[in-house]
Amino acid sequence: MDKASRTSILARVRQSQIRGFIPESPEGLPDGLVAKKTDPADLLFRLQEEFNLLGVKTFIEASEEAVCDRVQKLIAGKSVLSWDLDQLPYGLGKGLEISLQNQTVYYGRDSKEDQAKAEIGLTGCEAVLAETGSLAMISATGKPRTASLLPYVHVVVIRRSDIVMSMGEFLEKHKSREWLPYLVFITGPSRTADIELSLTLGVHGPGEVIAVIGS
Amino acid sequence: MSHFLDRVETALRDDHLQGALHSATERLWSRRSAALDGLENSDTIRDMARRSKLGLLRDLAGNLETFEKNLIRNGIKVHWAQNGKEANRIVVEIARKSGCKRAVKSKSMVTEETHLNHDLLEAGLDVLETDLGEYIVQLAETTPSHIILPIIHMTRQDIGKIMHNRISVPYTDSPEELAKIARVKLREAFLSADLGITGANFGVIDSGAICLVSNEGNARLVTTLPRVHVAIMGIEKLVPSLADLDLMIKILARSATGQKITTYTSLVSGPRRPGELDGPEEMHVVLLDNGRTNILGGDLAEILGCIRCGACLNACPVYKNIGGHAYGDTYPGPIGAIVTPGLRGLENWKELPDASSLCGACREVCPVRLDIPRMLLKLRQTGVEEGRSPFTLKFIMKGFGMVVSRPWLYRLSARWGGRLARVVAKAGWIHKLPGLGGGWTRSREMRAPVAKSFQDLWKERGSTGSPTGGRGKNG
Ligand code: SF4
Repeated sequence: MDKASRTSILARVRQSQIRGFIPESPEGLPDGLVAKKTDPADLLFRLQEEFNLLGVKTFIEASEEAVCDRVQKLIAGKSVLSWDLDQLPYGLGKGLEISLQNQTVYYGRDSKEDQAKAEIGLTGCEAVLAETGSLAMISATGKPRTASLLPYVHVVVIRRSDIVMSMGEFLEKHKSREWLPYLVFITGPSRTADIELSLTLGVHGPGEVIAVIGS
Repeated sequence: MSHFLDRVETALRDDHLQGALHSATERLWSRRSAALDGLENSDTIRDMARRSKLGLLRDLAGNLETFEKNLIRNGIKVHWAQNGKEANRIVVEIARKSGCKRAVKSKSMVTEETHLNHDLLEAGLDVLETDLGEYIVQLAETTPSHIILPIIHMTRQDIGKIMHNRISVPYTDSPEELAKIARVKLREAFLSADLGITGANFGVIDSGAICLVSNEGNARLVTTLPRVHVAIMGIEKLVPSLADLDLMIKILARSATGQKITTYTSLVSGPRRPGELDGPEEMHVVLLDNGRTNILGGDLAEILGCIRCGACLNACPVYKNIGGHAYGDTYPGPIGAIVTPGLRGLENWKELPDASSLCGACREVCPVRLDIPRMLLKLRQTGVEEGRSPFTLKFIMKGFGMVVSRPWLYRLSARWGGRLARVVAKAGWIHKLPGLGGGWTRSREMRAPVAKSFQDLWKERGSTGSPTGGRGKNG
């Protein structure tokens, strides 16, 4: 059944694509968009601006210890769904090891139901796009997709050197890489405007995103 | 189904609908303008996006084969469906084979097109819509009325009542509370579902991936928690590469909601990999024709470049007044007026191409610059060739000065003649015609009666060709 449909659809497409009227495109267009070089200081500035517009609370810390302190404060007393500790940037996993012993922490290996109980998700990220304030996340062992998705609050730790300007730049960098199977750009908290166009946060994903940027 | 003009009449009588449509479409319109103004080189980017979408249609068959090959390389099972029924059957079979009982869906126009929910329920599967708007649509047992904002036609009170009556929660009309209730209810469903169903905003040929965008995050949940993921996509929804995807992403959200980018933009390229503890164990893509090859073979092939942003709805003075349901099928507004006759056949949808004033606003806002007015004219011409006579203006010009001063309505009346006159008079609507805002304020010259009647235009253009007939490239 499937096979026959494939054959007949492709045959119909072959006929149609010759017969149909497909307008010509304008001429003289560039082949692709060229990313502009940006000063790293501008990148951070732009990112902060975008985060601000999106309502992403941002902390910029000067040292690894400061990052660790900040995260500790943000998650204190809460149940946490975390990436595997060795996957967190800035050796954060080591720094948090002791304090995490006194709170409930779930990981990707726990049941979905348990993971869904966590109040805060703790993750790193692959890169950040300054132009739109988007976190690029690539799923992998020890980096569960759920951590940036299920809890109401998402705390993300960002390496300063992972900030790039645009999606184009990011995609270009990773073009040859097999980034399977799942890449998501997260831009601010989950939102809906379905009810009378009034903006409501956190309808499915996190309603609050907090960024901690290290040096 | 009721006649098109009956549906129009119902819409025009609905005060609430009128108010809601006008305010929402105006707001979206102005956000869109601001967002595109803020995009550097937006004109070039739109041209490039157009080039990319239309270019791949020239060898759609080859592109589909490459896409299929790359999907398979990534461990995705590929299926082909000639029509909606077949697509639905494929989904039911996948569910049976994998022992799935409970499906969660994220917003997908193509599954509305195939009436998938109906067939799933019939096959004994539970299926739940998870986009907030679609969830409420499902609870209310109605259909979406806008491709981006499915419940644009409801008030918060309506929604509160629907939730209260259908899922027995205390009544509230606070959007925040309503969203909270939905979060809790739907979260339970996500955790127990074993089948996730999505559409696809784009299929990226060279990566063998599908791209899904969602503001709420439900598309991520649907593609993360259940064991099996099925994506259904029209065969036209391809882009060649990630660089092209970047172009589309730049214009899609800006045109749809005025955001720079949709909150969650996901690229899904296969089931979970060894070592991963979440994501589906099995992934399927169903490639759907359902009339698209007919469209491709005719004068309206251009419409297959549509990226479903909804901007043309918000710009359309007719949509603003009659709303989505009047169009009678899955795709409303100018896009529906072209796609529906293309997908379902012109036979039962002859009036749809008339549901436009040919003002050109849709062409202006379309991020991929589709020439919608040209296509509408083409369809009307076909309707005439098939024996439908255009209306005369006389009727309406007698008693309804107001109509004449509303250029879009004036043009409509030229098409709908007496029937519309009656509708308008019955609804007493003339006295409460809302002002024309947005893009229309600039069109003072349009206050003058339309320079050429449809008959004139038709004569001028000659009477050859039909949207599904074989025309040369220079038609
Ligand atoms: S026709 Fe153009 S404006 Fe209308 S939904 Fe499609 S892409 Fe958007």
